[in-house]
Amino acid sequence: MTTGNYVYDNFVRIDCGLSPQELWTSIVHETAHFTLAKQSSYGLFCFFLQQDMKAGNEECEPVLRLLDQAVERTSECYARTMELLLDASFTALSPGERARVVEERRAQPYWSRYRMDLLEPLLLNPDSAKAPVFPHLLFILAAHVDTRPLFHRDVSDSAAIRAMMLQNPLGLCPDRRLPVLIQAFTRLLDTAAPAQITCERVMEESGLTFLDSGSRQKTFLRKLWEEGKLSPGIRAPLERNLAVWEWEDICFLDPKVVSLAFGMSITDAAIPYTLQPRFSQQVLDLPAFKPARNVVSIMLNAADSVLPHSQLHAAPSQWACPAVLQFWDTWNGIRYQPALVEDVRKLGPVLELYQGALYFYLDDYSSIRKTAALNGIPAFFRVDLPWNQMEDELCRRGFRVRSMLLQKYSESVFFCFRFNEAGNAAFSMHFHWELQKAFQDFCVGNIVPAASYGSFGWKRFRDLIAAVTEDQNYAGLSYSDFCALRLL
Amino acid sequence: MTHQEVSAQLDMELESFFQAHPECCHPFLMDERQTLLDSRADVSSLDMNAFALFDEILSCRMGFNRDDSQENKTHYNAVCHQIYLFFTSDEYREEKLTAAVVKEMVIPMAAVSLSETTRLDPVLACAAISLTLNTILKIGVRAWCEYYRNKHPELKP
Repeated sequence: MTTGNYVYDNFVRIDCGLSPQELWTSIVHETAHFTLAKQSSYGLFCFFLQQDMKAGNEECEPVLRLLDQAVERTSECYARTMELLLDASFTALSPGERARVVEERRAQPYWSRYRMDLLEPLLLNPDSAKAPVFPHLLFILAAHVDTRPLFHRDVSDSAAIRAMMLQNPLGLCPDRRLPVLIQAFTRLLDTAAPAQITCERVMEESGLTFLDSGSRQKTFLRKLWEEGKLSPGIRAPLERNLAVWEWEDICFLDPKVVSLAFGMSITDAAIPYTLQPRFSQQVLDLPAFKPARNVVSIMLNAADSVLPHSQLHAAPSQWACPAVLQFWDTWNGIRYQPALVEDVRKLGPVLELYQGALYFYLDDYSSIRKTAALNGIPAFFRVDLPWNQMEDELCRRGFRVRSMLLQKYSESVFFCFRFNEAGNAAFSMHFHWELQKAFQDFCVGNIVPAASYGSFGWKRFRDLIAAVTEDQNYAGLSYSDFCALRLL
Repeated sequence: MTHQEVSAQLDMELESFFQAHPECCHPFLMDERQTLLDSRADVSSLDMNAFALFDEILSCRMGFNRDDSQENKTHYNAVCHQIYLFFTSDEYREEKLTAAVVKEMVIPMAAVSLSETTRLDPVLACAAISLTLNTILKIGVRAWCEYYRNKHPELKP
């Protein structure tokens, strides 16, 4: 079962249905991936590619996938090590009891899949964690490669990058470097006091090459940018990121910052996500349309031309119905799925035929400017960001929050609907520890609590929420792949 | 035909498969396999690498969803068991091992079983088994059988 993911973003996604204990384990696990990405030169390179992909440059996808394959084992070993070492009950165990726990874990397929056996002696040795290099820096060193050759290559040419990495696996492939580093650290543990085993000693003992140990992230990247040897595919996202990079210019290997994620605490970096279907399975007291999970077609034509079985789902309602709609212009034989904003704008007057509440689902609020002719139909869109990043992002998209409605979903998760003056709504999900920040926003007075959202409350939006959150397409596919446009 | 010749033939076929299905190939794991073979690494390391590749072939999917890994481990064990039974059967004579025997007996036998259990494309199943079998041939049938028997003490010698 998937309980979380990290895809080179500024946050990690955690399934919103987890118990408190599972939640903590999953956050520790995913944040380890995040830490490795933001704290190593290799991870930063992947981060930029991902940001570039989000900006529309899909040419980077094969290279990002390739790079991810070369760091997957390191990242997973780090995450699983962190799960164990941050578990107080494991660290308090005697060596014999630790061995029993490790033996149990060995039965998991992942254990061998990711070569966790190489780490077993370190997990069983209580001295390991006394060394400043273990656990964080040992893994970060594996990905602390001199990425300059990667930055200089054309990132749309995955074959060339693959060849370059295979020619120099110990220089460029974290997964090939990790066993060498583990061996070096193990040798040092046999001969030196744990407290004396620093990054520099492990680097020297391993015989591998690294980026300079004192390199600072921002300085390193700025220097690369100024050198002017960057491939065009990298230059633009790097420039953009340098412009918005507000966090401190930290040292790649600073032991004080490795457990933080871009200056955040690990709880700040986690957002709830729906990685398992659940909303659509809830039995609620509102009319439910089936099949196809409440997806209803509005037929923009005379009823007699509509197939009988479709009419059940096509009748315009006299009251607000909780339904995600798609347009099917049967007169012209056009199915607007995905519908474009322009399509719907043209159909604006016809929308008035529908008596129910209409909501305009947008992937990106910035596109609202194109929908001015939609007769005041309010927009609904989703934002996946941690609380601390939300306001800046919404402002950037031109959305100024006036009021906010919080709705508890479970013991761990609450929903947040933010409204602007026009009645447009931004939907987000947050963990319960963010509530305090929400109340602070209310206290400051810039944002006021919204009145209950009609007589139905948030459940009225359950199908729209289901449509935009029940994303089974793991691995960073956007929910926009569902459909470019949906209406409630 | 020697084991090496059979193995070389399987290698060629696997290469064609990976060219046709690049989503099934983990380039760094294949590279690691070669490195392990060149360094004469222990059988356990090669076995783990073989499973990782087996898993990769059967999980030709977007991203890195490993939800199927547990099931793939079960399938991998079943395939290894069938291969072990073949190599330890009375009918098997090492000197009779040919590419034809491998391609017409061992691989189809295991592939049918795997494909029926998983409903996977038989081409994928065949490739996954070819890779496993080829790793075994590279290790050496006798050495691998010994390793497998040690891992499964319930098996009769």
